[in-house]
Amino acid sequence: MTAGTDPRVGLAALLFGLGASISYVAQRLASYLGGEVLASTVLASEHTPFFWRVGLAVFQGLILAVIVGVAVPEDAARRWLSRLTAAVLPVVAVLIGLTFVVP
Amino acid sequence: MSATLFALVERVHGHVAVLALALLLHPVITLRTRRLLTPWTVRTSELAALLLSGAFAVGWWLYPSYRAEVKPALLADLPRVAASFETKEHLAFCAAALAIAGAVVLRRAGASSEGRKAAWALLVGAWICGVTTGALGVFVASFAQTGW
Repeated sequence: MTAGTDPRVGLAALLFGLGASISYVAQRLASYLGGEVLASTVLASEHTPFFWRVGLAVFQGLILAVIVGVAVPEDAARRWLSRLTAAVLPVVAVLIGLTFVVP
Repeated sequence: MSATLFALVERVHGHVAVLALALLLHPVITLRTRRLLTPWTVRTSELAALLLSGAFAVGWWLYPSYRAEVKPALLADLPRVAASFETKEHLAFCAAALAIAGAVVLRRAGASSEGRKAAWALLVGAWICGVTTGALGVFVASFAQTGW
């Protein structure tokens, strides 16, 4: 099986990767900014934020990918694939920085 | 989960992740140095994404035990190390998501130059997140040696 030339699937997959990563870090920031109980004061809890964040981030990334994969025309997908490629590494750098600022 | 099993699985988790990162270097390098896309570049990107996701899945399995048995003492004695663990988890998720995206882009759009460039950017992003995760993992493991 060889590689394909479908820019719509390419754009959808790119948006899944970026969207899920951004969603995960945004959720972490939102809970930090919204105010949270100090972790050292929690004795036990049923709720595991990490699992929820991962689940929600994957869900949002998939929804974004499906909408884009279905709705965006091929020419527009090709243009946006090139434009968004340039944004991938700067976005990753910002996300890494944020995960260190808000662990 | 017993402490010994935890320690064993934790080491497997780390070694699989290191293997995945080494494998991920193949598409990262060949997508820049070769003009044509070879089948092995596509295959190694997929295998690396699969291994990174596998390592993440094992980490997911270990997390409840870490949270119950390791985190409380780590948080009390070495809060900065516990914070590094949290950062490691965030970056591990980003690495897996970006690697899967890069492998899919390469498979489905890699025959075009814009597809190859997009895949390369995603795979490099995954590799950077993965290496940072690995470095933090080694740092945390040097303090939290469960089961020993």
